[in-house]
Amino acid sequence: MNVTITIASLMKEVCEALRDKRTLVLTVLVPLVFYPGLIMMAGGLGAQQKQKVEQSELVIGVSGMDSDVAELTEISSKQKNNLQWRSYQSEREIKSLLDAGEVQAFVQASQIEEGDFESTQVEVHYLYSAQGLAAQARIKAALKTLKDNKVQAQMGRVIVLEDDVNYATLRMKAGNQFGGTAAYFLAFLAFTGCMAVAVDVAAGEKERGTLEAVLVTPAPFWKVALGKLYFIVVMGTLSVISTAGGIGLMALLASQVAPAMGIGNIDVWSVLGMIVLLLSLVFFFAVLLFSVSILARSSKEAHMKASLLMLVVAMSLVYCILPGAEVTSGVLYTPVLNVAMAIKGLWEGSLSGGQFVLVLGMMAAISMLILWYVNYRVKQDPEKVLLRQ
Amino acid sequence: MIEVKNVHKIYPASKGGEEVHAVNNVSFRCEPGRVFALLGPNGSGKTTLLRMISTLMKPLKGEIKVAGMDISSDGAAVRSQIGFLTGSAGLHEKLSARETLNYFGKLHGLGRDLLELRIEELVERFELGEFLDRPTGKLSMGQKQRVMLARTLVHDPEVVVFDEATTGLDVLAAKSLMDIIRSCREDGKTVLFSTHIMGEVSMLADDVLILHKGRQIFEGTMDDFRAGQQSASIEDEFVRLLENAESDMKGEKV
Repeated sequence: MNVTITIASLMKEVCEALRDKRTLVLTVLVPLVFYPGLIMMAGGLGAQQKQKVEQSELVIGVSGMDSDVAELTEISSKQKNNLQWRSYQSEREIKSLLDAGEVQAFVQASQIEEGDFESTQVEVHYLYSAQGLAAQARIKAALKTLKDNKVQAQMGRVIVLEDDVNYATLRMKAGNQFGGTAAYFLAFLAFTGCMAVAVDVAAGEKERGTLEAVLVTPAPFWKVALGKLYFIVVMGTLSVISTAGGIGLMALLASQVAPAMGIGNIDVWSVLGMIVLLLSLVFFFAVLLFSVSILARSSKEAHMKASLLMLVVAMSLVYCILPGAEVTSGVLYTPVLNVAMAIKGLWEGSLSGGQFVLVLGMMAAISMLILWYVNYRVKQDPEKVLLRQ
Repeated sequence: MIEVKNVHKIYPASKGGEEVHAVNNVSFRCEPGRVFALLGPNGSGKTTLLRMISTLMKPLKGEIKVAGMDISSDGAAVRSQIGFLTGSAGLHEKLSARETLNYFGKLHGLGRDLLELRIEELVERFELGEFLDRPTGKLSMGQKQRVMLARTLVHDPEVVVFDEATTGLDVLAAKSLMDIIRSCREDGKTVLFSTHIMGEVSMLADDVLILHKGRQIFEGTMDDFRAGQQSASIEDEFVRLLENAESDMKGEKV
């Protein structure tokens, strides 16, 4: 097959893209710098705020268990949780104390008699704020120790719960924790990378009348279209590479995260599998967006439809960042999400060979089906599809 | 040569509208070494007819041959022999003139050496040298027009079709375009151009066809047109012919 026309079409698009700052920013700079920067900044600010709250001294009002205040103060001192316990006998409503900021939380105890036992029922009152939530967590830790101390005093022994023994490998843990988020960003930015150029190469050319000039040459349209499709794939791939680079950069900057991400524990085959899956996804997005663009009557219509698709893609991908999301048969048959979940599965080491082939085969089949449909529409009515109306 | 025989084109009805008989039984013949003018007001079917000749559209009925080849069965061969310049076709504005010519030369299947030679010729002929490597989006209207002309002629076609190519051009650029049309005639090419400006027709055309609402209301040489002229100027004669055609059509409807 003579590929001169397809290569000429591809090179022409590349040449135009290299001179278009908007395209380069959207496909390279945004995934490489902007999103990781944004995540780092948000993470940094969040951590700073958390630290600030954790270090602040909180005043806790107590009623109904005044005899325990001294012990609670001692426990807090040992736990270094900066709680100042203060007895309150006043008739003031608890909420007004919280609203006035006099206390950050209030512990109210009442005695209950149950058969032969005398129990104390404790209620923790707090406002739904950063300080209130921090106080609640620290109070619970202190009260638990107080309870253990009392049980020990009464029964002579106490059961201490240690951390659970988890047999998951570092790779499984990391894949579970970070795989979904990484797959989400890789898949979503693959879409935006393709979208940044797809609208322009077909609907844009139709609108500007440049496609008409191409159509009066003897070059078969499918060869020109193939060059354009390859170009969208190139830009989508570039966006994925930039995203992967951005995630890597982020991990490198937050050096304590890098080992936790367990990247070093992923084998070469899994990495290759991820690359193949991502390429299949980029190809699918390129086919889908090119089809939307070529069938649209104007750039505006193409933009509108591509934006709607972006929402659908973003929403369907949300599943892979949900805690506990697993590769189920339902997920495997959901286009786009299946690739993201398969990437997560590969990272965790839980994806089987059969599942991998199924996802790849499905994406390839859908891409081919879309291409067949567009070809059918172009052949059926080339005037309506390819010419500006 | 271009031969058009009993050609019809109907656009299907859009929502709430009626179907449009854009080209209605039109026949004519353009000879090599002559300039054929297609004249008509806006919406008369000129662009549809030219789009059919350049293979962008297919006629509903009738036959069109370009350089002896049928546009329906030999589309690609026709396109290799035709150069089509339309006012509505833009330029790839991020590409330079050189890159544009290079790209279109490849689409026309020109080999590297031949293409380089053609680009050199066209650069000289259309004086593209001073802005050859500048993105076409940064050029003036006249300069863009020269690049579009060079793009149209990059494969040295036998037949050249200009669709309202002077639209939006200043006087100098329009004159330059008319000089190029003349030079195409001198080169022995078949030249077909559409316009709604009678002055351009009287200056350039050897043959003329007037279209009104898809129907041809005059076809003949410019000498025939002048000989039958009943009005003081050719502009007035053009208007008179349109008015006559309009009243004939109303009569047909009644």
